[in-house]
Amino acid sequence: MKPDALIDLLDAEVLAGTPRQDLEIRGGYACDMLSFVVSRLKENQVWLTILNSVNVVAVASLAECPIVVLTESMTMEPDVCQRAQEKGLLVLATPLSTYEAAARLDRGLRQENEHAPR
Amino acid sequence: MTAACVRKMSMLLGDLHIHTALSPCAEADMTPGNIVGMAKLKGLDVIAITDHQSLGNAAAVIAMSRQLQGPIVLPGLEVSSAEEIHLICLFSDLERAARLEKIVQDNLMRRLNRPDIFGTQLLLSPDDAVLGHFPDLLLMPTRLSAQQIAAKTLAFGGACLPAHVDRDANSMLTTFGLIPDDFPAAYLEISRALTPDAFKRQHPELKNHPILQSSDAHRLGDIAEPGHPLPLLEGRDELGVAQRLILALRPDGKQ
Repeated sequence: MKPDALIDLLDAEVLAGTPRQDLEIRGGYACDMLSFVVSRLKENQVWLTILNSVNVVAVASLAECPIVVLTESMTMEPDVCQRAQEKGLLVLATPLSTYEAAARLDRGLRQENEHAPR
Repeated sequence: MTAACVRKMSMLLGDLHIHTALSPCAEADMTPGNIVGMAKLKGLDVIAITDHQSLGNAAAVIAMSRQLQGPIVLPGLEVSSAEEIHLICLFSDLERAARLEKIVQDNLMRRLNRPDIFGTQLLLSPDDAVLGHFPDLLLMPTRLSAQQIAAKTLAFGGACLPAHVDRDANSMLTTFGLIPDDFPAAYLEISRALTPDAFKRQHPELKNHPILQSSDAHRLGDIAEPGHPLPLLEGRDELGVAQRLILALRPDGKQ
């Protein structure tokens, strides 16, 4: 799934970064405990979370995760947005809950797989 | 509290939540010399050094403050609990503080720091020389619950405050949704984002709870100015200021 499709799917807005069209999203990870995320988030997953501190940017960088989605209409301070921009991280915000956002992402990825050429 | 031991606001001004360059999120110029110099300029009587999970630079700041006739320096820790709640744990002396540090370090979730991602963790001498780098990421939490950390802090003679409860991140209030009745903290810490009165208006259920404001300074300019008023235990004049301050911050006013 491309970032633009994800943005539509989650009714999201861009808080920081630019949606790169060469990005291919293959899955997601939902968690709000940094200690878990640090060891479990994988590259090319979308990280769904209500956390919004500068540590979110650091942990996403560490995992080479390209997209963080702040759920429940969470916002991000300008200085943290700036850091995300510098690190090439795309940060989206959605009014959906983490559960709903994850469910839509999963459904969307499955539908794409069904229609993919064999 | 007995009638003979009363907690009263003193004339002392201080900042009881300051990071050195050991904390990866703090700037590299948060050195002993700079912190003491800045605290003196800002007219602070007392400061606390509260790096994440480690006392690595506390002794150096204490030594430098003695040398420069600077403020009283309380050694402390900002401990991250298993629930990723931050707690400020303050002591009147290094020996007591070191007992908590050992438990924190023994229970730290270990992973190596990535200075390029999280920032450097510098160990410094009193005259600001870099002695080394702390290898393990100090932003990782411990395996201890908030209750356990508070209990240990009190057992070792220190005072425990839930840190920056007004914030979204790592706040007991945000994570639990409330301050548990049985949590052994006399004071709640708020950040510099809002005044104690504004905080109490936002949280009327906490309006009778003593509040201590601190800077959580990660940069020199963020150290409190003016300092925040500090409580002291009355009726114990035989004790030093640091001890009377720690006692005043404990729930029972007792050692």
